[in-house]
Amino acid sequence: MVGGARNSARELAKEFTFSSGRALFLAFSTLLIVVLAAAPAPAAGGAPLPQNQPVAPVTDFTQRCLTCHSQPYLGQVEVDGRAKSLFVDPTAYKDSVHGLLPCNACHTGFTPDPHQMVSNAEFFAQTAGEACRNCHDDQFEMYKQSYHGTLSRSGSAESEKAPLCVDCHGSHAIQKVNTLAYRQGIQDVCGRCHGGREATYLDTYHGKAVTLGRQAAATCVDCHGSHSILPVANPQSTLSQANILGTCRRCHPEASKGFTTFLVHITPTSPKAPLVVFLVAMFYLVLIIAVFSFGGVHTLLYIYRGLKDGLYFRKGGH
Amino acid sequence: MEEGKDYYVRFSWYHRLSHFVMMTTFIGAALTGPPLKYSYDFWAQAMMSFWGGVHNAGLIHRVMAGFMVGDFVVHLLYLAYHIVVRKAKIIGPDSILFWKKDLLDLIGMVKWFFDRGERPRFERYTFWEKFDYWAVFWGIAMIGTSGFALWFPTVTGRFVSGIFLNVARIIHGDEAILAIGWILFVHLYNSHLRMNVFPMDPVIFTGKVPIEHLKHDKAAWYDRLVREGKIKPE
Ligand code: HEC
Ligand code: HEC
Ligand code: HEC
Ligand code: HEC
Ligand code: HEC
Ligand code: HEC
Ligand code: HEC
Repeated sequence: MVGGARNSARELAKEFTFSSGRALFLAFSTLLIVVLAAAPAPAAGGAPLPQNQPVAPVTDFTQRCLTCHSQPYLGQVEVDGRAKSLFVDPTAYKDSVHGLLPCNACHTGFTPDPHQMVSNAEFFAQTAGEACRNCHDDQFEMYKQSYHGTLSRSGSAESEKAPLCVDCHGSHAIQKVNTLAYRQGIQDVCGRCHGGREATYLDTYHGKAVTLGRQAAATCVDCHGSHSILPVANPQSTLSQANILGTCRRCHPEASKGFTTFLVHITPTSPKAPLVVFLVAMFYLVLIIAVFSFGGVHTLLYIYRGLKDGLYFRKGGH
Repeated sequence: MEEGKDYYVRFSWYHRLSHFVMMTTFIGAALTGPPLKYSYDFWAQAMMSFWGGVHNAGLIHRVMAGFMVGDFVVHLLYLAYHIVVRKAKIIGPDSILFWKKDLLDLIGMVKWFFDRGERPRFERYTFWEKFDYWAVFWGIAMIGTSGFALWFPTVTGRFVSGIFLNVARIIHGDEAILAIGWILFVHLYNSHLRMNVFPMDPVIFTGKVPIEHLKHDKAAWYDRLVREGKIKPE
């Protein structure tokens, strides 16, 4: 399978999706721990840290940066003609996955006192992804090959519009990605730039179920990939003719070629939809209007007649 | 039941049981399906958490669907028995099929609404009761078929193009709107909020209708029952 598609969707599918199940599980495991009091409980969850980077404690260093940057009013600076706040929310930072990292893990070359900064160009390169590369090389390399990554480095007028790591993850409040909250947010992450696609996705079972908290249903990235997104026409895409079956089969093991022709992104009432879909949608529109008009008028007239004759309050009327 | 009144048994135990199963499974399905369709609304989210999530609601929905389709299949057998073994007439005053009188009754009803005539003398089933019946009949056929297609999407994909899953979803959702809207705004009114039985007609649960009501409500049927000696004239 192509790059970025994570395997954990299957694992997610196996997770408890409702709270009663989870509560039972917790109760049961608590009991187990009490019984086996001596043995340390095996760590539940908590992905191992990537191997290749230092894990610094919350340092004095971070604290020194925050003396100024935790001030909500800390100056706006013009970056590329845009006003930018320099505020970093310390609580959100500490709660983020990177909460233990010193600020200069990403902002290499910065020192607090005196405030040494890198050149603007270098700062942009850092925030455009170089900062993340040190520790998330895999994701960075995949992203570089993807349509978004290629576009962002193309230097064309469009390149500004391509998403960087921060557009999808944020900067100082990055959260784990295998949580329900993050999965529910993905549609809006992509929807910021692909609003039409988000709307049609939300009209399918997957979109509705994810919105309502079913982790196992597909988000945008379960089909398209996250860091390796390519146009569907590209043979390397997770949704190309060659790969789409494998992509659906991650969650629909019995899927066949016919199944993959299900259309995720259509508006049934638009004439651009396939003819049979459009006709059925129109048929129902007409049927609903006709049936409710007939039933509604009949009901209203019946009530009208009953009221007029005062029959509601008389025994044995018509 | 009021003392001293004469009643006629209009619905047999089978009719009542069948309606009861249909009613409960319908309510069950109607409470678990639409929250998915309207996932973006706050009420839908509240209802889904009440059921304990999409997955649980889906299970309840499927159990309801199973019993509903079971009820439907039993009804088909019942029809077959009456037509094949009991040689019931397919068209006639006792039949649920539409016939010419229904059109005349409809016109008569409209006249009566505007005080241009007497209320039509209905036979055993009024045209709106027939409409109710066929709406359920058609509805179960459509919603059931599309529902099974969506329940087993990969099986569907083996036989037809995936586009039919798109079609099935439209049918399932729109048919649900039709059914729920019809029950809430038409069926409930026609059967319970009618002036003479207001606020509720228990006949579908008790099977018994007061003969005095029958005389007004379904005059032609009343006359026939008297003629056939099935009831004493009032
Ligand atoms: C004494 C207060 C103070 C301290 C301590 C401080 N900063 Fe700053 N920081 C500022 C001010 C003021 C600016 C805006 C300066 C400017 O634009 O010339 C700024 C700007 C920045 C910028 C934006 C650079 C750009 O080009 O837009 C970054 C990133 C930054 N600081 C990171 C840090 C880090 C990391 C630390 C700790 C190593 C730190 N700061 C410590 C006050 C401080
Ligand atoms: C995980 C990497 C990472 C860490 C750790 C990090 N930053 Fe940043 N920081 C970024 C990125 C990425 C940007 C660019 C944000 C953007 O363009 O929206 C940024 C931008 C900034 C800016 C510019 C204003 C802004 O929000 O765009 C300041 C100031 C800043 N960081 C301060 C800090 C301070 C202070 C710390 C330590 C408490 C810190 N950063 C830790 C990644 C990081
Ligand atoms: C188009 C949006 C997008 C961009 C751009 C993006 N990511 Fe991600 N990233 C995601 C999503 C969505 C996930 C969740 C993974 C999943 O479910 O497949 C994710 C997951 C991750 C993870 C968790 C491990 C994993 O692969 O699941 C890391 C680390 C990560 N991204 C880092 C990065 C870095 C570094 C960059 C920039 C080079 C980046 N991301 C760019 C959307 C994006
Ligand atoms: C100094 C190394 C380092 C840098 C630089 C860094 N990260 Fe991380 N990142 C980590 C570690 C360590 C974790 C795992 C934290 C955990 O598991 O609790 C992590 C976790 C993540 C996750 C969550 C992964 C998951 O499994 O859910 C994302 C998303 C992520 N980082 C994105 C970024 C982005 C975007 C940047 C650049 C702005 C960045 N990181 C820069 C070390 C780093
Ligand atoms: C910051 C804006 C932005 C975000 C966020 C973003 N994209 Fe894109 N995406 C783009 C742009 C711009 C293009 C290029 C559009 C074009 O060439 O017409 C693109 C192209 C694509 C393409 C290639 C097909 C096409 O339309 O040309 C796919 C597929 C895609 N994005 C999926 C996603 C998914 C899935 C996500 C969320 C994980 C996402 N995008 C998030 C801006 C974004
Ligand atoms: C169940 C799988 C699935 C999910 C979930 C899904 N898509 Fe798609 N997407 C597809 C398929 C298949 C296509 C190609 C057919 C088409 O264009 O409709 C596609 C096409 C696209 C394209 C155009 C790609 C191109 O090359 O022209 C974009 C952009 C896109 N999707 C964005 C999204 C976004 C954003 C989301 C989430 C809000 C999303 N998709 C969710 C399967 C999916
Ligand atoms: C991350 C997992 C995942 C992926 C990937 C995925 N699906 Fe699904 N899909 C689900 C789940 C979960 C359901 C709900 C199944 C159920 O409860 O019966 C579902 C249901 C469906 C349904 C039934 C819709 C309905 O209205 O009941 C269709 C059709 C479907 N998926 C199509 C696809 C297609 C086509 C693809 C590949 C392009 C795909 N899915 C990829 C998880 C996924």
